[in-house]
Amino acid sequence: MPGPVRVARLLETLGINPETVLVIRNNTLVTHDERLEEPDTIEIRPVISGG
Amino acid sequence: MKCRRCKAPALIDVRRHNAAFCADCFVRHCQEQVRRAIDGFDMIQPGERVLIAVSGGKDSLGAWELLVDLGYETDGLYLGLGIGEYSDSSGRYAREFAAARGLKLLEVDIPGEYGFDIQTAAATVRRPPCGACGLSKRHLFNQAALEGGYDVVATGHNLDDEAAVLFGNVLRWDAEYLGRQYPVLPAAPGFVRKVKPLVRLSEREMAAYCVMRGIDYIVEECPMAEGNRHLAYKEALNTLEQKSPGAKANFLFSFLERGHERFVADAETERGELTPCTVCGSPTTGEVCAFCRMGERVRGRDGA
Repeated sequence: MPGPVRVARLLETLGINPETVLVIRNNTLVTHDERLEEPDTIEIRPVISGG
Repeated sequence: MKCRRCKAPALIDVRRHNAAFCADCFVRHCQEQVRRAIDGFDMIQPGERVLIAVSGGKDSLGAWELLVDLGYETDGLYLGLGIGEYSDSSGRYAREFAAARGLKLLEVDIPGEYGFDIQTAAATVRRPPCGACGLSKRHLFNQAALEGGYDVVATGHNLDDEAAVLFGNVLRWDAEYLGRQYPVLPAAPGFVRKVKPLVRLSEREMAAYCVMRGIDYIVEECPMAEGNRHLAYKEALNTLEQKSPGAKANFLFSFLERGHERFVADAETERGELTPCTVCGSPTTGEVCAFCRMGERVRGRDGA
């Protein structure tokens, strides 16, 4: 996805409920207002477990 | 976003508290929530020995770390469920966590010690896999705690887990289960006290806590849980939470404060007289307890 884009906008575009994931940039957590840039590597990690 | 406490750049926002935190302040926030849960519900007394049920996931490993941080004498118990690569992998995370911190991890391997795995057991007794798994965990954690002389069993059930269970119980208006749903189940003859110290922390907070503390946990979901009702309840509650931050906590804690007491009598009425299981000695309403019955059926000893 092209940047820059804020985390909240990225999740909205992908249809992901922000309550259900962590967003991690270069091994560090980021808040929903953080701006992500083109070269950033982003992990969207699900946090919901079914047990 | 700035940390609510120290104004440093924040790493995690928690909309339910209308707050964001840096790493250090967030770890303190988690410790405070666990302390508040333990004290508020009289979960653990000073000097008591705690056995924590660990799965290799974020909640149980995070709970173990938090209990140790708060000064509790805590050993872990990992159950090998025989769920293929998932069990192999989750066991590795639990062992590595304990070894890195010099903590004691007990292990029970269900296929090795009881001759069945969860998937086969579930198919044999025609229960969903999560039902057979939950039954095995409740039985074996209690048994290990009694044998090891522990005062209390702690589990990693978090705010989302408890809200989802409540949601399911309310959908069915299951009065017996509503009467039993509480963050502390008191000790009774043959049963160790059970506590849920993460009841004030969400799944997202626990995952963030693990990332910030450098706790490696199994991120993959248990393959048996895919499509279960519990996940559907969580999805519904998270849809509400997104529109109305704090909805899950309000739902759960309003019930605990104002609703639970109304169902306690239903739970007590449903509990029949308990006698020792003729196989393992655990208290049961029948001759043989549900766990031993399941094992016998899987091994074909009762001709089923």
